[in-house]
Amino acid sequence: MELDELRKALDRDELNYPALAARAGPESIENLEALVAEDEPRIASKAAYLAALIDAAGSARVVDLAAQSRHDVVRASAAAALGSLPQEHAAPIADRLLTDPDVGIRARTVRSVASLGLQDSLQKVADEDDHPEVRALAAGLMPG
Amino acid sequence: MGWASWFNVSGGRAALGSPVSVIARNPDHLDLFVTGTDGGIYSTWWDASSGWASWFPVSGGRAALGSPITVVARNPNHLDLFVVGTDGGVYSTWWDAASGWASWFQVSGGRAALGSRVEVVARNPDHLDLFVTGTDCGIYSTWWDAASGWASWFQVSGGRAALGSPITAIARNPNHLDLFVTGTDGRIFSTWWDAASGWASWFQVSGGRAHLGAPITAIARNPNHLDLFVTGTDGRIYSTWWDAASGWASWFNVAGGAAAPRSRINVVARNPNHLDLFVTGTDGRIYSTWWDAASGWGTWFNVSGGAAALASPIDVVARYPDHLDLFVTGTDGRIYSTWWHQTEALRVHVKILSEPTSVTRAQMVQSMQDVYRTAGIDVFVASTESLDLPLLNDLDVGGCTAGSTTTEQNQLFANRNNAAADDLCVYFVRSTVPPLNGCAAHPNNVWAAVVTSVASRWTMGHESGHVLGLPHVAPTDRLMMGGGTWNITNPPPDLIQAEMDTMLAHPTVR
Repeated sequence: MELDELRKALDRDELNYPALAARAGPESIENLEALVAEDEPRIASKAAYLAALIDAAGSARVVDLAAQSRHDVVRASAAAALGSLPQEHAAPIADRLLTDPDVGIRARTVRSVASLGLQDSLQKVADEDDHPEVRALAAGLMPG
Repeated sequence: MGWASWFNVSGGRAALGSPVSVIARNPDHLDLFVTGTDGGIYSTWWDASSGWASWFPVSGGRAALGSPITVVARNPNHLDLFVVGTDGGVYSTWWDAASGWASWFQVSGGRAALGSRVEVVARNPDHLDLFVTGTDCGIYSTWWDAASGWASWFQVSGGRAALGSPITAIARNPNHLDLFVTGTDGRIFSTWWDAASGWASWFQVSGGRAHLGAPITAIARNPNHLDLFVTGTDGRIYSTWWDAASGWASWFNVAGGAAAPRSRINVVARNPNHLDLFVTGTDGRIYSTWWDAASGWGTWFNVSGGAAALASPIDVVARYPDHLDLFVTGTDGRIYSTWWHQTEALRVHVKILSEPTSVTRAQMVQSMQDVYRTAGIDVFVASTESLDLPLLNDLDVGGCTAGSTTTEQNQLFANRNNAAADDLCVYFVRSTVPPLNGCAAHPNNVWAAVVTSVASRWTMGHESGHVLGLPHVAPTDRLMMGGGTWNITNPPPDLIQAEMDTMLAHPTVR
């Protein structure tokens, strides 16, 4: 999809992400990366999440870019998007987001980490996170 | 309940303080009458099907500047007008749907001071009774009957009042008239006529007093009850009542209200248990209060920022029990109107996890109120509460499909402090998973929606619209447009009648 077409599709109040991912396809990854880089949080957050749903080589790169955004809403989207990436691509991004100063972003990352089976990361949060609710969340998501 | 903004009626103008007379021949039609700035008598009309017409002169009639025009509709297709002309004669004309406007004629040789009000009442469709203070200060009456035409003027029970004093007449039933006037000594007098006994003697009403010439307003909410209103000698607004069971009550000050001497208090009974009062206050602003049988008197409030010259009368008509139309000559001499329409209410409880960053929460609420008002729905923010729930601030909403909610949504929506079962809770979160501007999915009968920090000013109303049963639509100038409310064209966005009907039928709207 072209850049403006993607921007328009993402600028809805409610989106059907699976349908949009299928329509956009791997060839849209570069445009999604451009939308994340544009620094408009309402579009960038959606672009990052959509990129993770598309099985493409550059998907993790887009999510990683979002994870470094100055906008917490974009980083929160990256934290949620992690769960759709392959484990090996998600792990380094998760490590960064698990040290995010925002408790909500760390909590959302914990949920993604749990879904990816990154047990070491989960254990570390359960042991060391500053916020008791995040520690409790991680502990509760530990297997067994 | 909603008041509209004041608007100028078809460019009409009159001298400051001029009364604007209004009558509703039927619920979807208004006729207005006023003495214009050139002394000509003018009329316009409003019809629900065509809106406001242009002003036109009524059969060449003329009167002194500020003269009141009295109008009565004996039936829905007939109007009778009365005025004191420039020569002091009491004149009348009529309009009939079949024949249009007639020429003015002097009523039985009657005369009164320039600018006097000619009071008229139609006890039945074939009979009119007129009352006026004559040039000799006597209180005079005449009548017209379809069978016999106009009678001669006669003095009513020897009554007298200051030159130009308005007489108030009311027919509680077709065989009974009650009259009220401020007498030559400033005492408030009444008399009555009954078909069985004729005219009674004048008597003072509960010791009431007013400035010479002060108008007495009377209304019969039911055939056995009268309510009177007057601006007293101390400038305070007073009322008393008469009930067939208990007689006359003492005068009392209405909710602390005050007005310039001789200010007319206009009153309307939208139903037998409710009164609405209108007056120009001592600061020149237009005020209203109400009385309801269930709650008593309300406090005075300024009507939509309206203002008029001191003592300007505000004419009011209730075309329907849930609708009022007001008319006044404003401070710039232009004729203004506003209306009130009773609306339904949607009580919204705002729950804040994160404040919006794209527009302010206040802008979102105001935008929702503006759009919903077009559907006759007043959005009230009944409570606002901050929620410290960081683990729900980026809320998993799953597919955000109607009737399906996630564990996180259910946890969040359990926070309904202050909210009744049929109230709507709107939760402001930072983001959703997946990222959306908002989501209206909610458990059955738990009325809730989520709005995120990147939402547009219309998203709150949009998501609430989903809760109220509205689906997405394609046109980009509608609130429920599916292409994203950031991209709404021609704001404020519209609701169509079918959408309004759906919203009004929802249990949260009541």
